[in-house]
Amino acid sequence: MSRATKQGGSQVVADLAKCQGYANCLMVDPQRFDLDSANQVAILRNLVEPGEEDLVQEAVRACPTQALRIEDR
Amino acid sequence: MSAVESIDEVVGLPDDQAVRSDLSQGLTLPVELYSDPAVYRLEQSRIFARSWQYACHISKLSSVGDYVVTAAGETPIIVTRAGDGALHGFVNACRHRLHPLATENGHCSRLLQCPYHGWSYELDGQLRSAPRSNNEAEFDLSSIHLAPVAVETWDQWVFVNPDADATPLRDLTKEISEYSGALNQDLREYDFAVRYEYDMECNWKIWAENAIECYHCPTLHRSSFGKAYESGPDDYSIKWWNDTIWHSAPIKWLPKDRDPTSLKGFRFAFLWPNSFFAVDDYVGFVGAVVPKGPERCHAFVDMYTPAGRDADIAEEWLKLWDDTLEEDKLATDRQQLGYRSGMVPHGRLMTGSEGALSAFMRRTWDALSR
Repeated sequence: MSRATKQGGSQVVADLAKCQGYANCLMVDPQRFDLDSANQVAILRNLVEPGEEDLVQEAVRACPTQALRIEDR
Repeated sequence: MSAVESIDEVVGLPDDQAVRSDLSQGLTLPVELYSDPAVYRLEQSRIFARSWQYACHISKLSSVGDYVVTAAGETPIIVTRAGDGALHGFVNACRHRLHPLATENGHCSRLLQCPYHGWSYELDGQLRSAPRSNNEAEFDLSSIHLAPVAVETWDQWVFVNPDADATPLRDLTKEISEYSGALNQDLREYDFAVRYEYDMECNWKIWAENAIECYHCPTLHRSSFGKAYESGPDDYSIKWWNDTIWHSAPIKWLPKDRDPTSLKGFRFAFLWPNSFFAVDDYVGFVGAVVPKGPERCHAFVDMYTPAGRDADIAEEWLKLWDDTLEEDKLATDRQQLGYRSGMVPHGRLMTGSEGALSAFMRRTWDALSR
């Protein structure tokens, strides 16, 4: 199961089957990531704007279950 | 858990009636209270786990997400500014394996994450997320909350009390607030300058008792505090209530022959058991003495100086206060040797000048014996 929006450019998407609720992404980039009521990642904004790549990459790398990835839109 | 559950179980102590009688006659607490490990343990549970102690300046918790790591006795504490704008205090131990949520002050956006296994808490202490908990049978996030402690401000100062049901600090400080309000108003015009720290080889009560009387100032501090401030019985004023003590003294000397007339002098507030703040015309300070063992304690004193004025005198005054506190350390370390010997059962106070000391000792004995 994936959350993604196909519009061109790059975006961050989550695989909820992998998410274990570590919240590491939220700790790195709280403006973009949250937890939903099921204790899983909720992406508040998928689109990765120029200048945001490093922070998003850091959040993706911080996920211990590889539940996040950056992909082309 | 204490080795003893009550002061009656400490071997060799006079009974409650004898101690109260001695205190009423101007004698000190029995010397055993200043070195016995069993008394130290009892003090942790009967005093430091149940009393208000200084944590930090309110500016450290000005924004939502700010948190401060502190302690009250042996209770590690974290204080947060939550989204509701309120201050919240908790035992700084994750409900998983009791690792601290943080080890130094900081800021987080929404969640406090334990750095050990990643349990994450809302700023009001509610567990929000625990890794892999979705696969754990009968694991209810909503039932887990950081253990709360009491937090309250006294003007610009944040105080904590490990007892979440403690009597409010504002009730304990009602009488002194008539005086301390003006002190803290003046101190708001000062900026933080430096933290002084002193490690003493003495029981915490010896250092605290030294801090709440100035009978010693004309001799021990003749070249420091006693040089600058009137410390004779007609000028140095001390008032006390159940949990608080107030000192005030006129200034008598300034460097370079400057005229001290019209200056406000020294004002000092003490909150039982171990916290204090003060201001004079060139330096203000806030701090506490923290027990570290039956015969060891640590004092931290955050020094403030006037914003944008009198930098030269303030520098000299900082030195004067450091000298004063070093002299206090030397004296209290030396006192401990007399207490430890056990050869003198108690001291004899000069009640006209050391009445606040009797009050401190009665308050301490009340806490230990009830």
